[in-house]
Amino acid sequence: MDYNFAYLDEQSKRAIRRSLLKAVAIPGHQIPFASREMPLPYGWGTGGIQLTAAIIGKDDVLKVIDQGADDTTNAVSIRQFFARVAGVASTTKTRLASIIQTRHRIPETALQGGQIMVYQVPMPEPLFKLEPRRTETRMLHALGDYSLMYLQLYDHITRYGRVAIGYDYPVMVHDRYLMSPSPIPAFDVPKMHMSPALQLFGAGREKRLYAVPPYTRVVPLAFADYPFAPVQAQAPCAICGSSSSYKDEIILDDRGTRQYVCSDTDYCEQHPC
Amino acid sequence: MLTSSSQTHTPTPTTAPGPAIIAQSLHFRFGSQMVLRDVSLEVFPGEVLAIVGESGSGKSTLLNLLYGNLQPCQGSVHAIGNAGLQPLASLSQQTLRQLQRSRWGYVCQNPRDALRMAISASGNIIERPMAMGLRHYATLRQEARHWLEKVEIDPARLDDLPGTFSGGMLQRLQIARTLISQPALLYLDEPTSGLDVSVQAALLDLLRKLVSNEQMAVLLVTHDLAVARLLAQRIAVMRRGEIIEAGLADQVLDDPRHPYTQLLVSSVLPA
Amino acid sequence: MSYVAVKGGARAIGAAHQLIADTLYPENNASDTPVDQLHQQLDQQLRLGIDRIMAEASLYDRDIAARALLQAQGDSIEAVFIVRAYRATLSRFLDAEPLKISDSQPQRHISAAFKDVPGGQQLGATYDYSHRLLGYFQHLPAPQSAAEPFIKSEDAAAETRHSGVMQLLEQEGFIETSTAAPTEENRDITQIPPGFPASRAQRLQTLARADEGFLLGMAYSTQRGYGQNHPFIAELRQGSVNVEITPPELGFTICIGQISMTECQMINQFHGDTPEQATFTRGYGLVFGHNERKAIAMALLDRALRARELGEKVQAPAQDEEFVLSHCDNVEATGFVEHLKLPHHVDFQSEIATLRALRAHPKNSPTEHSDGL
Repeated sequence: MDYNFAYLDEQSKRAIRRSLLKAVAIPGHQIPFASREMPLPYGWGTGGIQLTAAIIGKDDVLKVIDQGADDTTNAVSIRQFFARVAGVASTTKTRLASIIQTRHRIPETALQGGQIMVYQVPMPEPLFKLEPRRTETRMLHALGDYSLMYLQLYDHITRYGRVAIGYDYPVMVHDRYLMSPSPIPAFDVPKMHMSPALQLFGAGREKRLYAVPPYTRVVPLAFADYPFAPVQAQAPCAICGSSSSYKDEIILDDRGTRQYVCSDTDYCEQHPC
Repeated sequence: MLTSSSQTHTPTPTTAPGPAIIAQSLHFRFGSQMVLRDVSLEVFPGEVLAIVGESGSGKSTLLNLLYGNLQPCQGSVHAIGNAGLQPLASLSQQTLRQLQRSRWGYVCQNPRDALRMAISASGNIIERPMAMGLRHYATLRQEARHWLEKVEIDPARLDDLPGTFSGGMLQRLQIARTLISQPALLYLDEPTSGLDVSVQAALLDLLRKLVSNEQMAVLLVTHDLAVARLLAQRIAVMRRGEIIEAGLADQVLDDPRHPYTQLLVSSVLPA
Repeated sequence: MSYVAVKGGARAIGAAHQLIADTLYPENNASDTPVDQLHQQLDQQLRLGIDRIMAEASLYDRDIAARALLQAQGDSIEAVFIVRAYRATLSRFLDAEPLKISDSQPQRHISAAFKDVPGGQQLGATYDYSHRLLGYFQHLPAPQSAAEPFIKSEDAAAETRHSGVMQLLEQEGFIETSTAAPTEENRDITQIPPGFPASRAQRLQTLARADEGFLLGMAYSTQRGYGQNHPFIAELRQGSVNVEITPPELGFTICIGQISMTECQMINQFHGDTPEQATFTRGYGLVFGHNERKAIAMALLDRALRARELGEKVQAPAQDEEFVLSHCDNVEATGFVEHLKLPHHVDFQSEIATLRALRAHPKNSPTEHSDGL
């Protein structure tokens, strides 16, 4: 069977681009879009895939990562999908890519102007764990009422002495909307702030997309006396020695010996030992 | 009927000279049924107005109209906002909500309806200042402790979940959570009626202390004339959606004019 | 044919069944495939469908399940029903020894929580990374090497027993210790019916035979905020496991065969009021055959249903034990839902009569019913 360039028909792609324009105009605000079934399951990144399909052109260079790595099964699968239906060039090098589709990480290599990050988002609603009804949360966003989230932070500090959110750390975008940064580690959140790259977020199953335009304020929620302080493995990378990158923890044997290596494989390869 | 008694009763305003809320000729209907008819009132800072009446007399509906949760089909409500008295009908939903959560306070009969039961007691108390932009944990905590003491709850209960509190304590918690923002306008909807008599007395005592210290304008809805006598300077008696008698509390309770009020007083407050 | 034949019901039923028989065993069967062979073919080509029937029927017998599936024209709930009815006729001679899942040779073994785990990540046969394009598997690029299961990490081949991810987390004190001691009242729920509150063992048994679609929907609701859940799959394992029994007359354990099982060990949000008490909690799923969807859903629900035990507020449907466990069985559910097809004209007649009486005597005129109600 033959498919249109980038799988979706042109009408569908245009509809998604229109929603994206709206999203860029209202940073951090969730925009409904007519998400479709893609040939990969919901939860695998159908939102990200649809966004990439909507914006990709023949001259683009695509990089796909999952857990920071280009060679993880899902990243390979999505890259193969676009190779098959769009035939665009792909790369593993962050600085060579024009579009980077990601699940759970932001590359360590600083992003540049003109690049587009496409995040795969499972739950676009940052408040869903505190208020499951979307009719309610939509009202809370409209009123800018984020007490629920701050109360959660307050109770964390009271119980645990710190904010115990390791990933999907809630952020305020452009001082207006509370946003889920997608389940990236809290460690990656500062990379979103004033990034020169355009950041797009797609949630296929929930039929929502949102965006952070270049050079936009993205500020993690915190208290003045309990500033945002992400946790990260202390050990340097066992392969490249980097002490500034985010690490995967690998269990080596039955005694529970651990090794820490860069989760960003491209960064790890380029980082001088 | 205009029930303003500003001619006879002169409050001693310190900050704002005029009333904190004015209702003019309010009408309200549910479907085809007229629930409120031509209700007018005003409340000054430092003053407690009790709206009394049997259940079904329309007093809770009136409170909801005055709070902005319901819109009258005729008449208007002006209440104190960020820039003096503002007509409620002109406020956006955002502004209304913001006023409700800062300049005004609402204490409802069942504290469980107002409290966040999954959040600690202290978290419940500091929600308002936090929503108003206070983002300093230690200060918030200090505030929480301060208010817990003010409503006479053991500070050791600071981080307990409300679910572990007694009914009276829950109501105190709701009061602390509401009064922390020092509202200019306070709505009390049957604040003690779910409680045992002994607990009620202590709570009323506490409410009287807190309210008189803060120069708040208070609207108290109650079916209990004893509660009204204890807290209110003025009383408005409602029957079938209308205010049938209003005036100074002692006057209304000791020398009721309207036969219905006479009945009410004689049945509840044996001389 | 009339719906409720006032007379001649037996003839109508006979004819109805003949219609099904004609579809199942047409007289001029083009393929001429013997029925036994059809069953085999079903088992081979619709393996996952057979697995699902065995799981929901709680009877591990591939041939019986295949026969039921054919007889049910592919309606899996009908097939489950047939197998359950057959299962009811079987006598039990012994309880098996607890299955040693972690000793099994997995055909598939993955962890989502860790990049690599003892025993290695083993992808096995999965649709997970395939593209849902028609004909996808007919047009695969030629394999680069001989057919070998795709093994990601090197030590996966080593035939040693590996400790599970859960045990490693236990060693660090990061996860609650496992608590599933079998007791007398926890035995077979099809022998001793469970009540409420159910023990965890009773709940797990119920979930293991529950309808996959129901579990899936309930589990999904926990992920969308209706019942707190922050799950990570510590280990998902599918493979053949020895079934062992210890006949009293022998006094030692013998293996009587192998069954395919799917197990999901889920790590969930931490629990505890202080940093010292904070540990991850567990959810567990175990299903006959190869059925990862159900094993995962079961683990999510197991965790959600532990709300009360862990001192969490029960507010979502998935946390409500009585709600979930009472409605998850598809044979029970389908029976009661579909029984609405049975004649109800006696009940309905009385309803009509009541309504007529109400209309005949408008309110405020309490008159006696005249039509003998």
